[in-house]
Amino acid sequence: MKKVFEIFLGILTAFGGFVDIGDLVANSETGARFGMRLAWVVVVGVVGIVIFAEMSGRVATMSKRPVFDVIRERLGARLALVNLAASFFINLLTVAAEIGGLALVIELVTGINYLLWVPLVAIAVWIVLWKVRFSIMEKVFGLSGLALIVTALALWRLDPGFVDALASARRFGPTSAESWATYAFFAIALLGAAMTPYEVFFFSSGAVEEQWTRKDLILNRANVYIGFPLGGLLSLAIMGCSAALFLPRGVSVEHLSQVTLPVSATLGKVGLVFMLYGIFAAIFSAALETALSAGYTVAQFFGWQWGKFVRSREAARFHLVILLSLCVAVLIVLSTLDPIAVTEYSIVLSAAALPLTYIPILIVANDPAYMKDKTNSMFLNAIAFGFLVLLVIVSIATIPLMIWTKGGA
Amino acid sequence: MRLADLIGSVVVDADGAEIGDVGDLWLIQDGPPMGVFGAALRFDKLVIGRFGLASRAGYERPDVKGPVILARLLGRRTKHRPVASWSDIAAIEEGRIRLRLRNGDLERPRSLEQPATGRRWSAGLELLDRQLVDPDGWMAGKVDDLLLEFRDDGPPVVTEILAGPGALARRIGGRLGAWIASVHARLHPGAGDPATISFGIVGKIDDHVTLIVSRKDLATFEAEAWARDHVIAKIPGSSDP
Repeated sequence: MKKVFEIFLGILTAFGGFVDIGDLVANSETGARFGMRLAWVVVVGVVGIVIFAEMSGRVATMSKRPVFDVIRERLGARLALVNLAASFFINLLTVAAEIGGLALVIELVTGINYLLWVPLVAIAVWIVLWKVRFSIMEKVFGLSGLALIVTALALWRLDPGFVDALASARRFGPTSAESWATYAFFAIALLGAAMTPYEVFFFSSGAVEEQWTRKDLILNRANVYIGFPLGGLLSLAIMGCSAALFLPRGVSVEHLSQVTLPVSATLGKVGLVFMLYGIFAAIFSAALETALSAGYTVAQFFGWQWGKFVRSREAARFHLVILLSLCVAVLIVLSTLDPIAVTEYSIVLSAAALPLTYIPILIVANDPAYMKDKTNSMFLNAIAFGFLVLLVIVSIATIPLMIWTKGGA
Repeated sequence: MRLADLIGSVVVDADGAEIGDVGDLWLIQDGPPMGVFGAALRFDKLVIGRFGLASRAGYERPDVKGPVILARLLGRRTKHRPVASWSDIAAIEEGRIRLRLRNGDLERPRSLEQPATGRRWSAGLELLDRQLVDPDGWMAGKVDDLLLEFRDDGPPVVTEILAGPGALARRIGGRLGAWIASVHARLHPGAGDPATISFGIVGKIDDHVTLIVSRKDLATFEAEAWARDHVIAKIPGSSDP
């Protein structure tokens, strides 16, 4: 019974914690510009993150080796350092984006400029990281993110017509106002938003933090196979709301307040309160995850003690990296770079950097020296290999497309 | 001799023709006794062929099979690579290894096969870049490099694990490597060389390397202690469980 409850809680946590600032921005933007024509990318991205996270969680559970250990072992010192530099930089942008997003949410509520809130938000994030235990931290914010379900309710109220939405989703290719290049660019953005590398850094390190054993593999499966797709449905609901409200009126999404508009327009103040609470919790949990990931990646590359399962003083360099990363992230946001733009760049670059992280995990998930009898099945390998091909193509196409479309403008 | 210097060296056969780079080093555990680890790891075979993603994937091992296409592609590049024993080597020069044999006469085993007695290891795949863990489960750095000692009475033996930025710098190489080395030397005046961990305190090697000495007694702990004493321990709550 306790196990059932634990699994149920894990699913809800994964569900509520799935969406972050990247998903909010990418799904709202594409909904407003392309309707549901890019919805299939969200489905592809969710399947991708599901198999990626399941493999990394299983590797971490069976061998106690989290993702960046495996990257170092399989790519070697030099190539792993390249990966570390890229992943760390992208992750830092993501931390900045999440902190900026949190500050923007507070601006929406208080009317006071977001820049003032940035340092305070960063301090709040750090205090939670410093003080709160891993499992509590993960659950409280993950569960609070469930408030985002109001977007599904808003979509139902907006009533775009299921048949029309499905028809739009079945059309492949851009609307007449958009080019194929921007269509492809936003497809990559959506994929990057769903498959952000920090998710696997965090998820696999979390398996070690929570001291998962072979018995907990079912927890791993349930979290990933049920929780993530439910989170993906929320992403689609956000896209659907945006498509129903903004696309017919030719409005483009440039500010976080617009993400909340479908909810406040249909469900009024109560809905808006839920929405803001959900967004804040979801982004806060992502801010915690990305800040931790900064520490995880560096410490795991160099072999330092890491983790919140030990006293902070016993993992000094790990906590030092987190502290410094938060400081740099604050500086990035305070430079008045638009947090939404930072988010867009972070998710697109995430997509480009994926293969270097994905390949080592795929190889090790097949290696009985790490996995014993829990290696990948043939079926999983077939899908996983397909994704490898896709990710490599995306990775090659990203930078040229970014320049060609001037960042999707 | 550091493993990092060996891997990547050019191998030249008896006719002076280049065969390829040193891709890996196979070790066998039957050297002279060395602490709790038992018999030391000694030089077994020099594997010729690049040490890239293909060799690190480990698909030449028969029990690693999937995904099929990846296994085929990468496995083909690592199966039947030429190997040279210690007695086949005429001279080890800087960045160059001369063999006594001709390319055609070299042994080409299908893959790393276990001998009847003892255990054979791929230094590149099974030792390098592995996590060091102390007896209480604390993480204590990575196997950044290995030190091999030449011996009069036989093949070289692995005597030391090198860990920390001083050892990592040479693995990374180039300008960045030189920069890391110089920063490390600046921060650790006097030490200069990388931290060494005697192979005699290695307890066990599996997907990580377990040591029998606490991390606090290793040279790799210096920087961790610095960060703890000067920053983290000064923040209230650093000792909370």
